[in-house]
Amino acid sequence: MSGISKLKGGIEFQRRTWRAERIAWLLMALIIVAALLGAFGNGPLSRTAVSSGDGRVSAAYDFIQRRSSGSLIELDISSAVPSSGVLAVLANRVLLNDFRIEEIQPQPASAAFVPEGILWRFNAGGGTGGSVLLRVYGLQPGLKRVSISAGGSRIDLQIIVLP
Amino acid sequence: MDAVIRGVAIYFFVLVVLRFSGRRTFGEMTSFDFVLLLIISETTQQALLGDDFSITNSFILIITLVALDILFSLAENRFNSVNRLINGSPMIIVENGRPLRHRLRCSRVSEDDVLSAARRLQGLERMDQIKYAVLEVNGEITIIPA
Repeated sequence: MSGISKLKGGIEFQRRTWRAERIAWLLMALIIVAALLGAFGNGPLSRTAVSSGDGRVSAAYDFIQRRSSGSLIELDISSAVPSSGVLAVLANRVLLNDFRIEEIQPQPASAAFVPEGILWRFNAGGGTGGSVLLRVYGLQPGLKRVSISAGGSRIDLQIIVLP
Repeated sequence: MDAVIRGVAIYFFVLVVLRFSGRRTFGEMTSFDFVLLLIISETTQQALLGDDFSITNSFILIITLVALDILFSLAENRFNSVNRLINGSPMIIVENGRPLRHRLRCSRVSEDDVLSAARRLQGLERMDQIKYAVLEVNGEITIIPA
């Protein structure tokens, strides 16, 4: 069979390839739209909020994050501040081990490692306005369960860190 | 461990994306294609290395990527189906002076592209001087004159 004759016989494979290409293009377009909407982090689809059972502590955060890409956890602890004005906030070991905490605003008055994780103390009179902002970077991909307790109330954050 | 996983994952991903982008994407390199190639290489560099800029990590990655290349070339030589799956197959797009329009459209090749190749490669002026024009697996067009 001549070279050209062999080429003439291969058109069915080519048609299947074209069909696969069109499907792949559609998939790429869907991925782009999903990414624009934040399905892979940094967007409205990946942002969520969680509250404690008694509503005293809540947080807004990205439940889908990308590894080594910064994300903001906004804690609202205004209802949990005791009369002493010093609020203890405990975050579990997952936040310590699986995230890099780049920034805490406002700065805690003190921070200490405890068996359960890390304990921060905030002076509520120091102008926190009841909100604490944590900028975190996921270190390893996977499902991370972060729990944060303040004033006897606890919230659980489920964060998917993409590779 | 993650250096090998990164290398394998990114190699496969770039291979699949370029394969499904259609062979014209890198066949005849235009300025746009060149810029795209540069940007892709910059993007993958960061993803391959991550935070680890050590010599050890780069050695592991280089070996992983070269090993994958060898593995694929062995598979292509051994199994014709793998070769066709990865590289595609050449396709006739002009036959006896007649452009096969459906194939041209699906391949995103224009008649002007064919005539340009005919002038450049064979010094031909018109479509009817072409016996066969073949779109090769690398996106180039080869011309067999009538």
